[in-house]
Amino acid sequence: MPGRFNFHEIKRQKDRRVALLFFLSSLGYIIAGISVWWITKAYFYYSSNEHVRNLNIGLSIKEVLIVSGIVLAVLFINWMFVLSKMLSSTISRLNGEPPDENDKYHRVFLNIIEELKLASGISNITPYVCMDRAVNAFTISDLKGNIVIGVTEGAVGRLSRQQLEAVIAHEMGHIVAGDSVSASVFVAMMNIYGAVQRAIAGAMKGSIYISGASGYRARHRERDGGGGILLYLVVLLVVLTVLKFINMLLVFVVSREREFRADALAVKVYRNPLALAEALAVIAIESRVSQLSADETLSTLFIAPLSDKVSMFSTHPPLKKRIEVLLGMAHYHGTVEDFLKEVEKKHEIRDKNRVQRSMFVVKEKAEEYFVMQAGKWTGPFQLVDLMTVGLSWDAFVKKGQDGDPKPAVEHPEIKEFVFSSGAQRSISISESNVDKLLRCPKCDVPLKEADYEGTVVYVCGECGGILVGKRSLDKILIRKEQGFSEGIIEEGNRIIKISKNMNRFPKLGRVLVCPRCRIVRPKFAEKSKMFRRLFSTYAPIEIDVCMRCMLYWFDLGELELLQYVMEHWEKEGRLQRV
Amino acid sequence: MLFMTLFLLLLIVAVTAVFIITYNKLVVLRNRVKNAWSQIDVQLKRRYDLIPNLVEVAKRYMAHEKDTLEAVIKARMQAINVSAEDIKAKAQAENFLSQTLRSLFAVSENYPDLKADRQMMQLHEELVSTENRIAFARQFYNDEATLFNTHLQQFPTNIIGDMLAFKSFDLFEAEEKAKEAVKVDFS
Repeated sequence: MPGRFNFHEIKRQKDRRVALLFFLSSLGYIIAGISVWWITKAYFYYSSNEHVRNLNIGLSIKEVLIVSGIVLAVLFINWMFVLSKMLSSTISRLNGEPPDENDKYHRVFLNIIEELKLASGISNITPYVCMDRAVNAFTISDLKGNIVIGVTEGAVGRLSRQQLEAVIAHEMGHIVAGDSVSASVFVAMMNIYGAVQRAIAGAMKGSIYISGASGYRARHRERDGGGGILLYLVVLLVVLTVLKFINMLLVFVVSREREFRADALAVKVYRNPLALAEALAVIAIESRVSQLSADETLSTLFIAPLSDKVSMFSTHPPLKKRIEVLLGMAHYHGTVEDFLKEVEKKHEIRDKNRVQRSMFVVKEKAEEYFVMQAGKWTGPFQLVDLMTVGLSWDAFVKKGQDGDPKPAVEHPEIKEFVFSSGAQRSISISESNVDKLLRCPKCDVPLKEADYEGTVVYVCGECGGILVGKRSLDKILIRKEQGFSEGIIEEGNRIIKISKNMNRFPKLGRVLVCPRCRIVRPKFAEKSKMFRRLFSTYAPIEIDVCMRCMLYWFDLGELELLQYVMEHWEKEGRLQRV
Repeated sequence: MLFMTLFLLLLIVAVTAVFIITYNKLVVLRNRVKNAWSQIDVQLKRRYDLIPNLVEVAKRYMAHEKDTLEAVIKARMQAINVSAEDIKAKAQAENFLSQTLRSLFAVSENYPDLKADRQMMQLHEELVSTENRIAFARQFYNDEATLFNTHLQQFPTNIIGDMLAFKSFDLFEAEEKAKEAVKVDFS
């Protein structure tokens, strides 16, 4: 085993493997092309008027070569074209974004990628995180050497570090072995098959329609009526389907071996077979509330299949088998079922022990600053207000009524605040520090940046309200760090009961001014306030949304409520969308 | 006579060619080893930079564990002072530093407040990642160094290599304990 699963060995064999793949698939297409040509020839021969039977309907070498040439040219163009767009189109289809350095969980993901770059010696890997609740990961490469590793928010937020390490190392194993290139080529090929099949189906429909018209029959004097062309197309379709079938079978047989190999490589890197087994167990246990497109061909790229169908054409060996192999490596005493139960229990325990971190920040007495402007002391200002006042570095500022007047540049907190918010030359608003200037839409107090469920939110110290961006909100609803208090649980259950009878969707008008619009578009903000509405019919919690900024405002406790309710529906298996 | 001179000429050309090819190959491999080493260096520096923050945060909660903290600081100083030229000594110093860090984390198990501190959690993650990176960089370096060493030891490269003053590289040895799977569960 050590010899076979050595990174170097596998890298060496990779080129051979990929070359073999290209050769075989080109061969397949050439055979398909020649068959098509031959059938076409036969058709036109038989449907022609002269029954000159002793005409050769065989294929000359020249014909074979020409057809092969055309097929290869078409293939080449198609591969280049499809693969160049494949990376970007797949990522946007999966709703992927580059990881956020400030997000605690994404940071772990980024670190693991760096570790694997060192372990494998492959450095041009671009990480992405896809917005999906399910735990999954994938990797794609195009032929130009761009490689992408993607994980879902579910994977990043719900797996422990060791489990995430194992999952990503598995994907790395695919990259090192060249599977991701073959898989991408396979997906591209399926596209070609699909396109050709659609074209034929279209032609078939056309011919059925046309063959009914007497004009066509008369013009071509078919022996067997319009059925001739139909027969031709049907035969074509059958041949193509057979070839596609064989192709798929080959690939699926090979991809099972691939998954086991990638699993073994993951273990080789982090030496933790149990962690990978646990990750696979989590995938097996958790309800598959994935909104990722169930495009079966794409499935080959993921660590776990996108749908539950287990068949001869499954792109992966059964999860249980993989877990069994891994448990063997870990010398686990027990069956796969025992293990799954253990993992489930661990999850339950972790769920029960969730900590309640209060988001309500204790109100500190804010420092007040006074600024000497045109000979007079103006103020009081809060630190944040100094940004809008038009302060110059040499203007005198005193802290509090009795403070010592000093030039602004000599106040360390002012300097620090300005530099940390990105404005260096002058103390003014820029796009990068808008977020420091947000104020509570209810209390008008500056909002504080806080970390919740690993991502950034803005909290009001007075009313406990929270301002969240859409993407951060999606992440929060997937993550499960926060524990729920008795009060939240009670209120949550009440809301769940109400939602069962809810089918209307009342809009409650526009009440609050969006904190961001207020700074960036002040004139517009008053006219275009945030919408007050219910989050959804199955989670009827009142929120305010600004559609322009994609910002959500929650009053005290409403965010935890929403989390509680969403988790309830997830447990019930009712969630199909994030 | 002409034949002899031609033959001699060809021989000289051939030998020179072999020299050049071998030299170039050795240079390429040696640079790969140097590159791999610099990777380790980058990660070691990362660790040096993280440790002072770690000690600062830990001090706030673990005031009584002065010995453990001081051991870490001392080990860090020692490791920084070992020159990168002496690979064996560097490896030893770094392994020792890893040991002190492990003791620190083991002791911090008794301080749940420290574990829950946000800054500490961030630092812990960064340190875990750094340890992993050092391990992988070390593995990679050892692989490259072994490749170079093997090539250098093979015939006829060994003769040529000797003449051109190529030396084999020391491997960055792991300590015995580190070879077991380390699973520190901070969840």
